[in-house]
Amino acid sequence: MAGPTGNRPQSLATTTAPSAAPPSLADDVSIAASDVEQLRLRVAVLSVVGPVRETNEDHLGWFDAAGLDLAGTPGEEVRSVALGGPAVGLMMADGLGGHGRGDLASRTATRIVLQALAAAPRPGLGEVRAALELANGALLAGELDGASDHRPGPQTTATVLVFMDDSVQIANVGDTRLYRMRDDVVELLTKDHSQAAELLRMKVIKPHQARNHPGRHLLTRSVGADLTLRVESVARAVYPGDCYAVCTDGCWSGLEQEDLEAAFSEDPAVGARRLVERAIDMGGDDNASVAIIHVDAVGASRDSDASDRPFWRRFFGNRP
Amino acid sequence: MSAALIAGEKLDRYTIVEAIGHGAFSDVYLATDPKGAQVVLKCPHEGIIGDVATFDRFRREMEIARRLDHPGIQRSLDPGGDRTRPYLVMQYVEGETLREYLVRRGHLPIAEAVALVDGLADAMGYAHGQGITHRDLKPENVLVTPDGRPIVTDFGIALIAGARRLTWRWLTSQMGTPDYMAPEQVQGERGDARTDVYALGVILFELLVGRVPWEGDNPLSIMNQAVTRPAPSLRELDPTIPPPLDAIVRKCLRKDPAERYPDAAALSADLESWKDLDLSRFVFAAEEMPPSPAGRRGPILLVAGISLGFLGASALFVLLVALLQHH
Repeated sequence: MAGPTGNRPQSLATTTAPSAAPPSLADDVSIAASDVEQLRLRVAVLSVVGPVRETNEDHLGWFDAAGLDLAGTPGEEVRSVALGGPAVGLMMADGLGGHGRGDLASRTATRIVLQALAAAPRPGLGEVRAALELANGALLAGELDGASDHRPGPQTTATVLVFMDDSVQIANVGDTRLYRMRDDVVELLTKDHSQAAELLRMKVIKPHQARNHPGRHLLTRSVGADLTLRVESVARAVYPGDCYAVCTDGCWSGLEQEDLEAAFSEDPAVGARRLVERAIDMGGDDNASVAIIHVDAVGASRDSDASDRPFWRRFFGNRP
Repeated sequence: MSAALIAGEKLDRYTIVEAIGHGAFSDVYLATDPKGAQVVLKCPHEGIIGDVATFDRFRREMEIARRLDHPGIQRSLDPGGDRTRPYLVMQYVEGETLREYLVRRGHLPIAEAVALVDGLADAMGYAHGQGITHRDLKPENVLVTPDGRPIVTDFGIALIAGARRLTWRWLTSQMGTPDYMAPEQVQGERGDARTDVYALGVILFELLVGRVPWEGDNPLSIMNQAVTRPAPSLRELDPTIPPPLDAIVRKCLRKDPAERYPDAAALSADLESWKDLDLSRFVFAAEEMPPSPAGRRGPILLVAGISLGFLGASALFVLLVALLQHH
């Protein structure tokens, strides 16, 4: 595996010291605060193996102006970081068993995608898709980090967020979800690529049937499955005060809307711990991972393709 | 992960002869026991064994299957002795799968098709009598012996239903399309004996006309049709099919399980006397089905929306012009 800061953009390398561990909270805040035109996010992540499984096949990582961090959450402790810069990216991946090497698939894909995006001058949707294609190719070829042979098979879900300027590029393959809370309304921003979700969209089954459908864990898309990778992607506007949560299915399966609302109203670290504990309390027997992101400041507006702002608000000015 | 076993290698008291298949859940080997008798070993993948909940269900299901003793069902052997890893020992059946048989033969003459499905229904009737359902009957899970007898294999769908994560690719390449899935299974129910009756109806349909009732280029399309479209008539596809067989298949393929045969034994009884069936027993009401998705109403709503939009825009324009003229 490449070093955690291996592909950091050159221009940023002079501002902070390269480090395998994430920079401390205080350092990050001071860097970001010096530039009011840059993004400032508070992020907390937690990934646990859960009460039944033997290995954790979920993985996550991020990059910002300070570099790349692929350490995940060792020791199952919540990690809190402040991220900032012109672009901040985060990816969560849930590996699929395939001969028991799902953990390698999620790690490898996370590294490849985040390295590619961290090295891009302006990582937009095109770059996100290209990075996912790179990861797809590697998994199809069986090139897994930490594996001694090249046996293909393991696959992974992938949900990637790249905050840039005043928008966020969102791409997902599989069923790792992204929720957003804005103006006290929680909204699911990703589409699940599972048999049950597709049948529900086709109206072949009803929501209550989808909830316990055996096909809810049967993925119709995943990274490493096919030569043609079908990525769901969209760009959305971001506003200070927005909260986001990325969750693997082991976390979101047991959650209700109220759980997310409660978690978003807390400090990110408390919210992350609360969501994972809640998922396990609700009978979750799978790996459970969550990343909670609070947006404190966004970058300067650019002509982006983000257009989820209601037209009357765009017409009549800023947020209420 | 433990590596695949190779010819000549020993697994406890068995000697591997060759790998027969590598499935989504297990590797399957032909092997010999110490007396030289041929057996089939099914070794679940390590990912499955590591998945405690799934493997427990798998073991429970195999315990049940071990109770089955019928010439039409592949026997599960339990020779005892310590095992260094979990695997199943099954009776070796000489022959080919019904899928291979169909590919080789195309559709079958009526008498042969009926006899084959009757053989399956007889075996499944016995299993249903024991309170055991298969839930994944399809030509890939039926072996045909050299003398033409069908043998049901793979009472293992619990493994699929409980498996943690699978992908479409594994599903389609390892298990084929969901052509034999009953509507209630598509909708997420576990199913019962009548679910097997449905699958037997699809198999009889296919043996008679050489195609399954619903065809499509992806599994979701087939699942959708199974729930929302009435089954096509056998006699419309081939007018030479006798009306009693058409009626039997229609009864098997009803969307509502309550309208099907209650179990495979009842189907077998009708298949054995199909030439003398009283067709007045078979009255089929129109089936209630959910509206077809990707809706027929979609285009109508779109046209209505566009028309309303135009109307609104025209009204606004007239209003603006009127206001401007007024000023």
